[in-house]
Amino acid sequence: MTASGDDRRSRSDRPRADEGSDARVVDHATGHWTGVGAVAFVFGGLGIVLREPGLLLAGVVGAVFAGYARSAEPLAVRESGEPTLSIRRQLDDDAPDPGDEVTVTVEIRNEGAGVLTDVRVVDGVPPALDVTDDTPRHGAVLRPGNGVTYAYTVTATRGEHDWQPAQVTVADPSGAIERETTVDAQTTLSCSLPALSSEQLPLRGLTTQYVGRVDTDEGGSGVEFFSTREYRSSDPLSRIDWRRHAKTGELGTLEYRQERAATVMLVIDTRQAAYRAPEPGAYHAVERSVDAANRIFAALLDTGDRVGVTTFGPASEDCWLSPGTGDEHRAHGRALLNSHPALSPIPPEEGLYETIRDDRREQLKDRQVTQLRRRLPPDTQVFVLSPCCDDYVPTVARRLDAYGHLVTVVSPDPTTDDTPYRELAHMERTDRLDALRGQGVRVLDWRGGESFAAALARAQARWSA
Amino acid sequence: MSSPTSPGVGASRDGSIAADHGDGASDGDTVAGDRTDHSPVRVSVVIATGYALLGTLTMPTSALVVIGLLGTLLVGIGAGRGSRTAVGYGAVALLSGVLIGGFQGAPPEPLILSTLFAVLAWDAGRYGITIGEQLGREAETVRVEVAHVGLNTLVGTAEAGLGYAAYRVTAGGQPVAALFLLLVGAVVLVVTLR
Repeated sequence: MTASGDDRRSRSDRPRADEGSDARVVDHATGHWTGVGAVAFVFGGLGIVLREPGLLLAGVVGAVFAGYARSAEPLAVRESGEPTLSIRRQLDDDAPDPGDEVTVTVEIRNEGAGVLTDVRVVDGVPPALDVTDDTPRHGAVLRPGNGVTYAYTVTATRGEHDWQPAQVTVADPSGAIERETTVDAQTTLSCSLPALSSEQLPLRGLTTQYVGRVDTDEGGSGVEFFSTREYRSSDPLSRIDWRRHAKTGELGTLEYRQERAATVMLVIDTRQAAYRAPEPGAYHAVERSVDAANRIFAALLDTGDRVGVTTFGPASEDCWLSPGTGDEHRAHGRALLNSHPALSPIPPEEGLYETIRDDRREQLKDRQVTQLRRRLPPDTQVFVLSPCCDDYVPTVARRLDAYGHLVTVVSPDPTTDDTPYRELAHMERTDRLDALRGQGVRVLDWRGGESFAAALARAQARWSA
Repeated sequence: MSSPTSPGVGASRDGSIAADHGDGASDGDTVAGDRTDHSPVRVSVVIATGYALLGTLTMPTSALVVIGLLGTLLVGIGAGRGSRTAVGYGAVALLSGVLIGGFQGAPPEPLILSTLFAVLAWDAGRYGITIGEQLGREAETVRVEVAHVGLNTLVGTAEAGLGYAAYRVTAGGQPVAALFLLLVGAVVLVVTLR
């Protein structure tokens, strides 16, 4: 038994299965019985030297286990090319809404001819899904042709989630040798944001408010009274001021405040710093931003505005939906919000330009704002969706504001106040938002646990005050 | 266009993406990694402690039982807290009790039993830690544990029984060296037959 006992501590470097190709098989000695040979030598040797049969026989016990461990061989996980283990997964709902609990039932079967006394399964749960009940891990004893079923529950998050191959470790009965392999079964959970029909939308107030802001000084067709003027022969009958005609006999034409559809860009903060949640397992701010974006997107399209979506963070060049209208645009937007890689529920592995020198990073960050501004059509209103947990996004909002875009910051609040440090973070964020408000940027602070409609109503009361 | 970050199971679940800390506003995120409880699985802790206790009770003299209890304590704590070293020290304590008993000329039966139980306790304790590391405490692992410990108990008992039987048969005045040679012969036979 010369195997190192550290083998199992370096599990993270086990190879992953290549897609399409055969699952790889890795054997390693576990060192489980390291040292039992010493029992044999010490006891057996002393037994002989001291002529004590008791000690010699005790040494035999050690020798037995040493020999048992030495004779261990990895169990076959493939027989004539076919894997001897198979896995089947069942989702009780494979197209849930975000936040729904989905029960995953896993069945693992021994298709081979040998008994597997020690099968350890770690199911390949998609990284973005959070296991909320039970565990995707299971230990099983499998006779040939037998299977075992276990279940766990995940919380669905937005996106298409493919299960990765399950990691299976098959140990021999003594536990001296483990064979690791992967067993694959195609399983996909697709979870999309709810399609919002206009009846469900709580955003009407918001939209009419800034449609009015786009263009206020022209008379024409619309709803709100603007002025009256002399009748001209081409004016439609419905616009003639009949009361005035009845009073004075003159023809006049009513003019209404002309409304022009707004062009709105939703900018979602997807930097690593935006992936914040009040507690492990809770919805993080990017998910809530996307949720809010979905609502705003649908509501604005319903009122006839032109809406586009982009992100602010890594790979944001790829994620750009120019402002538009229409059913096709609506479908595009939903698809983008649902499953664009730049809006992945998994945080990027490094911060924005994290690997780059400090001064150069500032330059690049600066350039990203410039690029965003260049791509924005003129007179576009910008909705920045960000938790505002650092100073960067408020700076971006201020710059866009300074370039003449009407900026609204929609900020899902991921902070808590259960420890002094978190309370400090909470207060810093509040200060940041207050500073933005002080500079004339509209801020919608969406607290945790609050419905978006309620947050909107609160913010609107403040804006109109 | 880069695909969504999808670290392998090993990286995301076992390697655990570092939970963010430091810059104040951090409050974890949904994939803050592994929330599996990787402490040793319970059944193995019970089995390991039980075997260690049995090994203590089969000690030849009452003075050795005290050493055995110390060993049991170490095995129990080590198995429960996930320390292989403590389990190892516990087993060494039990075995040194056996060794002292052997020096004192104790009869072979209690020595064999104590050794067997000490080794099995050591095995069960370490196995529980391994399973805890790989599958975690919440996972359903009772059958695997019982199968592993049961098979090892069977193997150990059967072989120790054979050794003891050989000793009983040859004990009529034969020197220890003869017994030793007999056992070596048996081992060689087994190895060649394999």
